[in-house]
Amino acid sequence: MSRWVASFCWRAGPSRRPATNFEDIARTTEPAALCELGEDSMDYIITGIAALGLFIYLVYALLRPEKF
Amino acid sequence: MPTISTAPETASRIQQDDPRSLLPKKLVRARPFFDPEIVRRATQASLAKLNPITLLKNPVMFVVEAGAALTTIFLIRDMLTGGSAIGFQVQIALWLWFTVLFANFAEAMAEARGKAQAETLRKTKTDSIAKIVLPGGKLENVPASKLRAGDIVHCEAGDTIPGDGDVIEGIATVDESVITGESAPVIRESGGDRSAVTGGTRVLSDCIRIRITSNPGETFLDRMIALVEGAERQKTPNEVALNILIAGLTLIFLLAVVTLQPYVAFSVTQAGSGSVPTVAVLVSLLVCLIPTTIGGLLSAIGIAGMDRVMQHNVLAMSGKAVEASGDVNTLLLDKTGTITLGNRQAVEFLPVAGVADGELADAAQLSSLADETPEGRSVVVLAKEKHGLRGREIADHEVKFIPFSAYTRMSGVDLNGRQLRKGATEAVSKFVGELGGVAPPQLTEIADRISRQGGTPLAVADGPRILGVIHLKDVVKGGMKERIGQLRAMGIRSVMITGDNPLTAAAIAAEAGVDDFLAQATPKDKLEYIKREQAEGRLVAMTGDGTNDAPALAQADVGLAMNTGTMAAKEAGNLVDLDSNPTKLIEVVAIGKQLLITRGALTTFSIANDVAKYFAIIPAMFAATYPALGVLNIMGLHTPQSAVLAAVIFNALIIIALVPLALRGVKYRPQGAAALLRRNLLLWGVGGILVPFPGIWAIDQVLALFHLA
Amino acid sequence: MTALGILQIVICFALIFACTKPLGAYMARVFEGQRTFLHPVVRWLEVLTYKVSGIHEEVEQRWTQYTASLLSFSIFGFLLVYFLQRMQGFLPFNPQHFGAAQVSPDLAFNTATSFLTNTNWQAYSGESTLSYFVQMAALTVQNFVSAAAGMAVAVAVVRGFARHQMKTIGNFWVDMTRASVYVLLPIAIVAALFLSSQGVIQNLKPYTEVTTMEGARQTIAQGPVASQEAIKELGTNGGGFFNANSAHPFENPTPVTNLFEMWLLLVIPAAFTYTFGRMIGDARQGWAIFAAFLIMSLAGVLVCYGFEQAGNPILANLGVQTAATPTQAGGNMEGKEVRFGIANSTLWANITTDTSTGAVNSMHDSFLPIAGLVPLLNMMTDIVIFGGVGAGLYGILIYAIVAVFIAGLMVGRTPEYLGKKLEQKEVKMAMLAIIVTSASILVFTAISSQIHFPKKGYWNPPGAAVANINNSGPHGLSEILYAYASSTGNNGSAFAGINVNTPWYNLTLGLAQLIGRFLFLIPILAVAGSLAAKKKVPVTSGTFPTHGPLFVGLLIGTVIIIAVLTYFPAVSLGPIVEHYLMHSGKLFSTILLPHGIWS
Repeated sequence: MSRWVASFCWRAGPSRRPATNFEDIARTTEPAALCELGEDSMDYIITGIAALGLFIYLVYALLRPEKF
Repeated sequence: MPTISTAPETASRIQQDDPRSLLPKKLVRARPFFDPEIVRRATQASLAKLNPITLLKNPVMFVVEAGAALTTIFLIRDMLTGGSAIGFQVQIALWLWFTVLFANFAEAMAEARGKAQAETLRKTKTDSIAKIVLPGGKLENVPASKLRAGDIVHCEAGDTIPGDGDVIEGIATVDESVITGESAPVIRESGGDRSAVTGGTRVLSDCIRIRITSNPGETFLDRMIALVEGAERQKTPNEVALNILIAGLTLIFLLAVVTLQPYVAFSVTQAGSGSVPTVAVLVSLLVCLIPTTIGGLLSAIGIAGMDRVMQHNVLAMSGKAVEASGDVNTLLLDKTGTITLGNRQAVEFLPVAGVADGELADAAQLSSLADETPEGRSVVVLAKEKHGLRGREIADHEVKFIPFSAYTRMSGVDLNGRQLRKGATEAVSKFVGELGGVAPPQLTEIADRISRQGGTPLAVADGPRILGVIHLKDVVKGGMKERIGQLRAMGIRSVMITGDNPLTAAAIAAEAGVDDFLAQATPKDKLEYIKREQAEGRLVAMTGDGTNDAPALAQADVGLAMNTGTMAAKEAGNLVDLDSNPTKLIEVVAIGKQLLITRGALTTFSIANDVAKYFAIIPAMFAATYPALGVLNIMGLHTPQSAVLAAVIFNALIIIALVPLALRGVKYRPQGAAALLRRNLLLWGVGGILVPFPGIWAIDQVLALFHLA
Repeated sequence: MTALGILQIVICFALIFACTKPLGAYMARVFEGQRTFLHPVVRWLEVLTYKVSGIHEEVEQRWTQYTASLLSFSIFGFLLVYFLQRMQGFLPFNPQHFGAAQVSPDLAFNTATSFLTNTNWQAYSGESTLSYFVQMAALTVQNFVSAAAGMAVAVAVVRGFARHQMKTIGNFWVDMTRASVYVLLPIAIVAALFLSSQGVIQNLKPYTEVTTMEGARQTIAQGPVASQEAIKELGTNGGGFFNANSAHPFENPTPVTNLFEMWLLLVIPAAFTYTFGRMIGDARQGWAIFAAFLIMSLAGVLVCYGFEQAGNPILANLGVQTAATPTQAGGNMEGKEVRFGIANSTLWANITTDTSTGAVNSMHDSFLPIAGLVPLLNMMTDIVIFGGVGAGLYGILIYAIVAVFIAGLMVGRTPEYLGKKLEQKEVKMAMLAIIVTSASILVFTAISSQIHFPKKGYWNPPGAAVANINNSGPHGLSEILYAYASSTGNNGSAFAGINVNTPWYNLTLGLAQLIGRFLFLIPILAVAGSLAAKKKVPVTSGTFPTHGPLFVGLLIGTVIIIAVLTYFPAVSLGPIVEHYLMHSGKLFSTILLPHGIWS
């Protein structure tokens, strides 16, 4: 389990020079705005748990639609 | 080609064709779409609907709300700890909340319109005082709300009828405008098909005694208010099935987005650059992909469909009835009042050999002078037009009018010793025989010929002499043939129900262009016919008003009861037409179809929209990891942030943009399924793929202009 | 693309088209229990089977009983294959003396699920792992019965549409027996004889040791190949006798056998469309499905062939001649047999992934990114482009239900397909089938792209699950994705380039196969049961027409849109980005560069 979690704890590498039409923008704007993963991989774990909850809820909505 | 539009204006035009419903005043007036009062109330209600417990009923919107909440929590955390890209996150969170609000607003709008109508109705429901008849015959005043089924009440001119019931004694004119919007008073009398009265209506003249048939809170008016308010609304079967599909698609996209995080994490390691998208971006992608458009508008479409039926002055007892009317395969139409004008008219005088035209016309006119039925009047008019015979004043002492009776099946006049009679061929022949005359064989010949043409022969006799025959003809309503043709194009068979003999029925059926007819139909025949059609898998719709129609109305998949009809008929049907216009059935079918098409169109549109959203979000998401994917940014969006934001904003705005469409329903022209499908697929499928591209592009331009992202 | 290449593709599809109606009509007679020209020859075998196994030919089953029969038969088949492999050392026809050492429990599990589910994913090399007895008694038998089971389910689903107000959908045992006796066995016998006449080997000899011209020693594997080859293609199984599969000259020696094998693997799925039309009493409905199959398949072939024939732009930039000339194939010949060339390799790659066959005659891993994306997408559609024998038909019917449900509303009626109202149960089951398969592909790939194991540990000796892949960069993700798509789709073709014979992959891929087969098939049988009990709605001009070009377009659109919407994020990080990187001159080695791709 620890390794599993550890795999989420990947730290963002230095942003390299992009090669497309996003190129100029990526250079002038903050790369971390969109993609941010540092020590707080807790975000993903919380989101993952929320997603699991939603998954169960949706499966229930699919199987027992008359309750909705 | 004339179209069956479901717009209320058309309905009123059709009603004007029908003498039974002049002055079509609407119970529910078509309000302007964004009536400020309704919008204000809907806005309040949409905030109240943010309550997650309420939202649990709508899986798609619940997922959006969960995403919005998650984004907001992380945003607050970042604001407190001084994280980066706050401006972007704030905007994403705001628009996610707006997405939920817009969907709530759509539903609230539909409900608010119903509520406004319910209030109008409720105002009429003041608690009146009822004069209850005690066993001894004495009257006692009690509040109307205390009345129970079985009580007998006394009402006279000026009284408000305290509850639903049947007239058991007397006859009165009643103002039912509260229910029907129709100002012309109607007659209610004991016995027969005109005995039902509705609580809340007012007696204008005379006095009647009524046996109450419903308990407090269960009256027709109560049920009507509940229906209009949408309080009793249950999801229809097709709506539930569509909810399954939507929940299923949401599940697939949830999986696709959740698994994306590890894929990107893997790719980032492989590429050695970039980073994994933030939760806000992943949530944005999810919300853009799941079918929020249809998920947000589905219940509004259903409520609005009921509302549209109501605007036609038809009360649907359940949404299921409206949905089923779109599916109808067979339409049973009563001949009289639906297909024909409802009264036969004299079109020709056919004298037997040796009788002059003029003599027959004269005798026919004389015999009809006192006949106040439409048929009788038409004989007078025809004689005047064809032979220049004017109606004459006849002094009372010289004449004796013989009214029509079911026993003699004749009517006429005794005038200066002449016995003028007109009536059924056999009856008149018998009358002539009794006076020593002989009916010429030519009479039967002429009568048969008229019957074969769909007419009714009326023999005319002067004492023992048969003069000839009046040809009475059923007049098919103008435009009926075209409408039946449209029904056929929609794949609906129309069947004419009539009490006439098969010969007459066949002739009228041919003239009206119906696909089949049921002649000499008894209520039992009707019921059998419906059962047979249903056994072959067809859905049947019919109209009815009499108590003896009740079993067939209950058996039919769509039963439209006339408001003038008996309470039994109204209970049996699943739709009640307050205008008592049987032609409405055709409109109701069109509304049912429109409701289903609107659902299908928005579902297709919703799914087709996803293609463009991928082109906006995917290159933006992976811009840092694989800048090469920027090639997919075919819209040329400014920045990754603006791309994601533009997609989210488009997704939210499209919901609000489609609210009027969801409430009004998509345009429907009666045409074959193949043509309809081609048109709608092109419009909503292909259109759904294309429209978001310029939409997202434009939003991105605006965002760039104001430096929002 | 060359004219000759196009011509070969056209010939292949023309042969299929020619056989669709006759074989389809024959199968309809077989499954309706009518007399056919083969009755005098094989009816005794059918009757004997019923007698021996105590089957009552006339007794029909409800969908639940039908499913229970199928499951019990499958469990028995699984146990048989598993234990035959593990005990091969004690069994006859084993000249190379293979034993339990060659088949670990996890490998035996994977192979058993693989042949049971008609996947025929091979984590083993046949020639170095399994005895002739296991190849014949376990694998070849499963090749027949897993195909027959798929056909039985398809027939049951067709009956669901054809019948009305009935509780039963046929008898699983009877349908399966008829599929084997009247369809699979006769064609397979003739095909095996033809293949062996063309040079495919058929013997039980030990492997031959030869000295090559260079003086090196070489072992040439032998075996009863032709008999397995015929049913391998005909039953859309795809499990090769040898590791090289249909690229091996003993399995597929000449262009003629190549064409014949492609015909074999397409013919039953194609004919099933006509059987369907015939059994529901409207051949046009069958042809509409056939048209959808054909258009999707041809589009895939042309894209795949086009990109392969165009070749690698990086090589072209280096001045290498990549255009086709009379003396050379041009394009991308890496991983392809010279005797087949580019057209026949890409055509095969498509047909094998359209159907659930998975036999290969070239290395899909060596295809250029977009050319490799096509087989991947074919499998991501839940294999409903022709599809497996039977499986393709019931798969496409699920998509037809979804398509009609969404678009059918737009004709202003609650949706109906082939006279059956589509209601909550149908939509629920169709969505379940589609969700379960996409969940299997997406979730297993996600886990495998992240999970770590101790190095040299039991579960995955190389360590992290991604350590098994051969290539860095997006191609690595494609390899994992392909493995799970192939298993879940019950296809069994390998992208290769990934070492899957470890407990982690054997178990998860085996699980994916079981999910892809049974969790897809049970909802469909439930739909069949529900449809059979419904009334038939009469067709009117207001009915959604499901036999014209419009429906064909809608069906194709639905299949493509669902697959694209589900997998676009995943494939954009795999083949799509790889394609654009290649065009910007970036390639990936098997070794990670310290600064990634941007250095």
